[in-house]
Amino acid sequence: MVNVKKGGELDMTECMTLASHFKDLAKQGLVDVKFYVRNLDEAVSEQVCSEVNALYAARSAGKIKALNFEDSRRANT
Amino acid sequence: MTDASHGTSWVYSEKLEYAFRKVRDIQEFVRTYVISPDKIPVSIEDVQWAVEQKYGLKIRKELVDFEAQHIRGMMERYEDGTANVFVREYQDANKDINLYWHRFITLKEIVHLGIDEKEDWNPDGCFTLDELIKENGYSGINKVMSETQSEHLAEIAAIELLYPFEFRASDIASGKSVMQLSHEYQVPPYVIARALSPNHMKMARAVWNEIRGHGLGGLGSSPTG
Repeated sequence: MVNVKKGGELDMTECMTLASHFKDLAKQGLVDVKFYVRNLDEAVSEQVCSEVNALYAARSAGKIKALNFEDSRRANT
Repeated sequence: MTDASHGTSWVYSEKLEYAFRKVRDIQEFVRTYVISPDKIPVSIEDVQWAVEQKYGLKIRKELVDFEAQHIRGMMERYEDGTANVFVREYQDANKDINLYWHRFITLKEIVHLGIDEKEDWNPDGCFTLDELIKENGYSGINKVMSETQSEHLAEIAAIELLYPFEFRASDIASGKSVMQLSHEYQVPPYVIARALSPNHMKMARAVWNEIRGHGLGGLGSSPTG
C-alpha cells in the first residue's frame, strides 16, 4: 500500500522502507536474513515491518549491547 | 521415512533428517573440545564456536533495545562469511526467563547458519516476513514455503540442541515441572513444553533412531528415550 500525499508525493510505507534497507544491505553483501517471530495470528505486514525498522533504528541510535553468555566450557578459552 | 508433522505446517522429512544430522554433527564437534560435554545447561558460546569453526563463519551477537510484539530476533548472513544475530533485549518480565529467551533465540538464529543451504537463503527480508505471516494463518496439510520451512527446522534443531533428547525420558519420569526443567536447562518454559509434547517426542525419537544420534553423552548414551 502506498499513501499519496497532497500534491502527489508518495509516502514510504514501513515495508517499503524496510525493503529499501534490505536492498542497501544486499549491495553490501547480505545474502540471507532470518527472523524469530511469535504471535503472528493477528499480525499484518506493515506492523511487522515497522518492528524490524524499529530494531534497525535502535541499532542506529546505539541502543545495543554486545551479547556474550560467558558460558563456554572449552579448555582453551 | 514418512513426512513428520510439526504444528500446522509440514516439514519435508529429508530436510528434517538433515537438520538432525547437523545437530548431531555440532554436538559431536562440541564434545571433542569441551570439558564435561554432557553437562547442562548447554553452552551457547560453545555451540556458536562450533558453528563458526565447522562452517567458516564469524558471528557477532547483539542485544537490541526496541519494542515489538512479534519480532524477537533476527539474523543477517553476508557473503564474506560474517553474520549478525540481533536479539530483542526485553522478552519477559522475569529476569531469568528473559535470559532463557535470549539463549534460545540466539541459538535458533545460529542454527540457521549451520543448517540452511544456499537454496534456503534470501536477502529479501520483506518477502520472508510476508511468507511467515501468510503461512501462520494456514491450517491442515500444506507444503510450506522454503522460508517458513527453514524457520520451523531451525526452531526444532535449537530445541534438540538446548534440551537434548537423551534427558527427556528421565525428566518425564522425575515428575519435575515445566518451570523446574526450564531453570535446569535455561530455556523458556515454551521450549520444555514443546520438547515434551507427544508429537515432538514421537518425531524426535523417530529421527534420532533413524540417524543413530547419541546426544551430549556420547556413544554410550541412549537416544531412544
